Amino acid sequence: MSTEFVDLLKKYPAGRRENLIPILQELQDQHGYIPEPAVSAIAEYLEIPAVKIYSVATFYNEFRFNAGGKYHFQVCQGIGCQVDGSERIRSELHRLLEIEPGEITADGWFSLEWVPCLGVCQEAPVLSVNGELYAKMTPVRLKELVDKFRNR
Amino acid sequence: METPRISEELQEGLHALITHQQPDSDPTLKFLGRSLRRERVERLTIFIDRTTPTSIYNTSLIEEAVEQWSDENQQISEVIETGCLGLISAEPVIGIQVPGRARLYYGPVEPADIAGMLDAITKQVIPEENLIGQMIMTGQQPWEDIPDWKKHPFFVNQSRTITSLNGVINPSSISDYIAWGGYRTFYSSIRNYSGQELMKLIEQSGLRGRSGSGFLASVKWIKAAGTTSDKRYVLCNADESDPGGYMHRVLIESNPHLILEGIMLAAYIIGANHAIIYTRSRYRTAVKRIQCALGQVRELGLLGQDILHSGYTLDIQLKRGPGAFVCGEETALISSLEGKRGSPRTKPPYPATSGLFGKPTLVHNIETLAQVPMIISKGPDFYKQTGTPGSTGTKLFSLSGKIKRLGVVEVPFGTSLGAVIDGIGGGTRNGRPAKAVLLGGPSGKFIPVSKFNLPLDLDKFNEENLVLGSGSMVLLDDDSCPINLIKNMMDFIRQESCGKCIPCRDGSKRIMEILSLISSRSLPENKYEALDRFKGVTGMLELAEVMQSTSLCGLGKCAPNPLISGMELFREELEEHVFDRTCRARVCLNMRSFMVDPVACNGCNLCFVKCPEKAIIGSPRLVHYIVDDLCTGCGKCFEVCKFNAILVN
Ligand SMILES: Cc1cc2nc3c(=O)[nH]c(=O)nc-3n(C[C@H](O)[C@H](O)[C@H](O)COP(=O)(O)O)c2cc1C
Ligand code: SF4
Ligand code: SF4
Ligand code: SF4
Repeated sequence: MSTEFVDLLKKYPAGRRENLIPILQELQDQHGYIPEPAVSAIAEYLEIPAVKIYSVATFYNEFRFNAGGKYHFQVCQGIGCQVDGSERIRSELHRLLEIEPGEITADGWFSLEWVPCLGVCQEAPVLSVNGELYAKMTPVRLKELVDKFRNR
Repeated sequence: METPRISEELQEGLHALITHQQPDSDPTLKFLGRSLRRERVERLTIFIDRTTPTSIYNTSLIEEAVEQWSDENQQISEVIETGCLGLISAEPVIGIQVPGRARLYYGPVEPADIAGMLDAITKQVIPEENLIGQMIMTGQQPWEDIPDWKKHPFFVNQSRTITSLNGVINPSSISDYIAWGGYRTFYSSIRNYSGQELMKLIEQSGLRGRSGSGFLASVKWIKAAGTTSDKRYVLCNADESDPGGYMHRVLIESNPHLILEGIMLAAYIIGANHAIIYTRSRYRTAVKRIQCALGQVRELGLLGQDILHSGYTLDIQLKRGPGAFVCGEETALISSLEGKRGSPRTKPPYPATSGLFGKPTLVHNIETLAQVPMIISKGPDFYKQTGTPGSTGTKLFSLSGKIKRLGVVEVPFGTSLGAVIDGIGGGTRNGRPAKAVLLGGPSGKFIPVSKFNLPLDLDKFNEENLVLGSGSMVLLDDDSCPINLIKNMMDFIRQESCGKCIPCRDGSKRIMEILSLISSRSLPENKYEALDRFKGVTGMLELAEVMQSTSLCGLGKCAPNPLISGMELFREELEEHVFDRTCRARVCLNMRSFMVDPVACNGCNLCFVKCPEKAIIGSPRLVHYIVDDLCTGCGKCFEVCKFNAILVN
């Protein structure tokens, strides 16, 4: 087993499948994504085939196998935001970054994700970049924001 | 994870507050309780709402402003974090309390306002701008001529029971909860009553599930308690998977100990020694609050072996959900907890007899469990006084969309929809006519304005074949396009379908495609494509019915609800989309048509530069023109024109 993940795995009892998701979550918390070598380490430790791990991990939209972009955009998909025009933000972001949700731009700068209600419907539509919220977005403000990051 | 250690002295006091027959009869305890409840404060105290919605406003600047003011005025002040009163459209909300006087709530507050407000209030002058009202607690002198916060239109018709401490107490402090009587019910239950005795109270209370099922709770409790097994679980479903709702997040962030006490009581009553609280990991603040609360109850010995010498043993674990709508469904949730893909399975067996790891598992919505402490402490007769005979108690709703006063409300079952939308919510934000309300998010149905007098009552809703849902209420006004919303929700279902049943997986995809075609512009379309589009529309309902009747779980079964109710209610608008290819609310992207107003256009050339389709012709200082055939309706020109010269149709 690669030693890199031993410390993390040792916190959980070996061979117990119910710890798969907590382990994946902890990895994702630490790395921002699930590194490939970790999958085989988990497979060995929990005694389940690696394909099963992929099958579980890909089921949930939280898990990623690639690092996010330097600027990770999360656009609120809450119904409140939708009523206030988040669709325009999403389509504009698509156009600006030329990636699908879950993907990352070729230069590694931007990644995209649609997320459930961020709970700030009064400021809709909202999005968050690396955890920081931006309120009352319009396509124009979005463009400015992306440009600002691009020029950093 | 760090939990602030509770000093031994305080621990002793807290134990006494929990275990003493009548804490108020003991002067020391009474004093302690009053201080912890902050009925008496010794210095200027500022309460700042720190729940998720406030993260947008950088509330630490408010805190800094308080500190700066205190330094400059040589005043000692204290800042206390609180949860959310519920009135989210007034965020950031703060409370200000000077010794001896009632607490004043304000919102929205800007950091720049702070110095002026504190200057005035410490001189006993009350600024009325953005005032929500005063909260008068025992032994405090009220401010003259200042309204009680409960008289505020957002609060006046609410019946705050499970949310009564939201925005009042510090959610990261167990002392706050205990000072308000917290964990006394749990203590007296495990010391003085058997599970069976308490079960009677749950039965008599008529408690029903708050997740939308409306299922009678006691049926599940009796099953779970009565099934022979070496292990039993209580599973608190705090996944809040409806993308339109946020009431559960607010509840956890504002008063996590109430949820824990509800879980603890349920576990004791059905004889479970293990409980799990499952919330989505994206709810970061909520997760932190629960972790912190769990640390505190363990430290006080309210969880663990032989709790407070009662012989009862219980532990609660927090599990973070990795995000999937379908994992809110109980059997999918259980799969996910077992480390598998979160796909639902057929029922029976129901979780109450065979749930987590095959053991009897009582699965309840967080809001259902939050009712339990009150049912036990006040008794079923008292509990039943609120609500209707069939739906007892209160229900939380989260208001969003085009509503004026946004937030989380708690009203008795039986309150009319209109009383919530128009009374508490204040109607639409811009005073435009309301169109409908969507209750229950992507599994819910639209309710037209003509039915706003309908009481929010589980049986009544069943009778009318409507969906009360888990409590998300989204208001649409005449500026909102229901077709667009239905399309987006179907897209959400398409993404979230676990893929187990073909009708759900492929049906949602197909319906979404049809709706996309309807809601996009008439790009050159040949005869066959046009025919296809019409065929799609006529076949859509049939497809929806197949989804409803053949899907395994509620996700697929209920997914067509918005579509079916929407097609009935918004027939005209749908036909406009299909035949006229227009969206009257001008929401559907690519469906709008744009024109330059020759009078207003000053030829700045900006739209020309910005149009991604090169659909605009014109040169600087001349009136511009949009070539309709090239225009995709993206709206860019409209966004950029500084002279309001782009007209939208
Ligand atoms: C697709 C789907 C999503 C659900 N999401 C939730 C949820 O987020 N929270 C919840 O408490 N119940 C949810 N439920 C209902 C649960 O299956 C279960 O009925 C509920 O937790 C029981 O709680 P109650 O009896 O207190 O209402 C969902 C059901 C379905 C079909
Ligand atoms: S109805 Fe949809 S979500 Fe539910 S089990 Fe079937 S495919 Fe999965
Ligand atoms: S941006 Fe407005 S004012 Fe400028 S050219 Fe275009 S239509 Fe005319
Ligand atoms: S709506 Fe978009 S495509 Fe049409 S003219 Fe304006 S900018 Fe160009």
